[in-house]
Amino acid sequence: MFLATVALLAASRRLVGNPRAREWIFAVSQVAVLLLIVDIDARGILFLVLPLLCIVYLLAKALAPTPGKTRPRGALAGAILVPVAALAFVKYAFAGAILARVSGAAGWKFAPLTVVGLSYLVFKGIHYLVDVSSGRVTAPTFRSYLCFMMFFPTYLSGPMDRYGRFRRDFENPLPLTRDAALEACWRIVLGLFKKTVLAVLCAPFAYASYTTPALGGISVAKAWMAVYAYAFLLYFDFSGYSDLAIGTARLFGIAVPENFRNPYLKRNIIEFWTAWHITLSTWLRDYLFLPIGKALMKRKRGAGSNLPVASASYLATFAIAGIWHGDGWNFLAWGVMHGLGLSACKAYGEWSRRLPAGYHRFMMETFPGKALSTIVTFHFVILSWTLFANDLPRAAVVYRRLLGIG
Amino acid sequence: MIDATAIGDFVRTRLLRPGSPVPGEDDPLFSNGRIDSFGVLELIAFLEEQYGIVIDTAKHHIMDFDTLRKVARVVAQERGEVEGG
Repeated sequence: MFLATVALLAASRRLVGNPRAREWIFAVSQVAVLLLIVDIDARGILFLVLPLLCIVYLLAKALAPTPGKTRPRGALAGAILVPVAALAFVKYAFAGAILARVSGAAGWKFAPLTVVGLSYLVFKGIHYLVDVSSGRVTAPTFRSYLCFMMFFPTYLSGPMDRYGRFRRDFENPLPLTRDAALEACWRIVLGLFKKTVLAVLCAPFAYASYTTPALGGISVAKAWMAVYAYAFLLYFDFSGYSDLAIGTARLFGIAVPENFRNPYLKRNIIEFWTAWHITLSTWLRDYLFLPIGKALMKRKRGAGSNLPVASASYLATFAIAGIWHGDGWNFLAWGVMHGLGLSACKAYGEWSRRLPAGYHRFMMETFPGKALSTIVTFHFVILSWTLFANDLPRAAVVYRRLLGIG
Repeated sequence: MIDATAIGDFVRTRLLRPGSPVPGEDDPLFSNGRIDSFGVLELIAFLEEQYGIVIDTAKHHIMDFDTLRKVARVVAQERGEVEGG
């Protein structure tokens, strides 16, 4: 069915002369693939995703800059709240409970929905609202917007594309030459290999293979093995998924952005976030970090250090990133840990400016200096994944076992 | 046009690692990791103060600040000296 979809779209490009009809065929086929092949719960798509997409589209259209018309203050923030609230009600137990209570009081029976891919859709929606309202993107037709939002290779877990970039490829699809097709198929095979072989090989040694009581009793060596195994399991699984998405998208003539660039070889945590889940980190940079940092910078008084502003911006951005990843204090703790790590990295960068040039040359240009930085960064990251993979009590057990305590 | 020298001095003394040479007008700053995203924010704050402009980060992509020439262009745009691109 997947190959049939690719063939149908390739044929529609050649046979259907009307571009409007071609776009509708593309948009509808994306929804059909999600429902039929990926086997997503149709109720979520029909009763939440599609209505939400319509609302976001209309809000963006209303916010688009019009000559001689000033937008009401807070209008963009209000519009952003709509997808955020939808995500909150679906993803977070506390918000779902509030909705259930409110709808119950009104006499409605609220049936919770599982909507896979909603987190990504909401971030894409926020990008779309901000970029259309700022004029960076011209409000497109609904069918064009739908093609972007529902593009099935990237719908579930990214890479998170941007409308302007997607549209350029959509209008002028990259030619599917023999070499391009082979490269796309290679990415798909590589992705499958990472997900079904390498990630699977790591799984028996990662946290999930230990039940909570047994975890307390595992040896220090096994605890460290769980930390390393989970780090590589996560990398192979997620980068494998991204390879699959990139390869599949390429068959449609769309070159979605890369998502991973050797993240575990980076020399500091700021560099790490330019190489891990790149499309999410650039989203966080553009739609959270820069606006927050800019607002804080404006409020800063005097010519003192900018470090407090940097720290507050990193903490706020990554706390939100943590909450976005899942419902649980462990995700918030993971985000805060990264916010603190980035702040420490920035503070170290400022402090080390006073050190002699020889120190910088050693750290940046010699093998021992580079290796030391990479090892420290790698261990910071993999220890943070403990919070990602376990709830807080279980993470506390892991950390104690890593130190040989308890 | 905007003189990129003052901007280059700020970048070298405040944002780049000590001992770094003065960047050329077309040397990448952000895309090759010489300055990070917070460095771009510091640069924006400097430009706003130095040239009396307001730079809306929603209207500019971070890559608009990737080289001194591009930065000078943003400043010129915000001062109405050239049309936005």
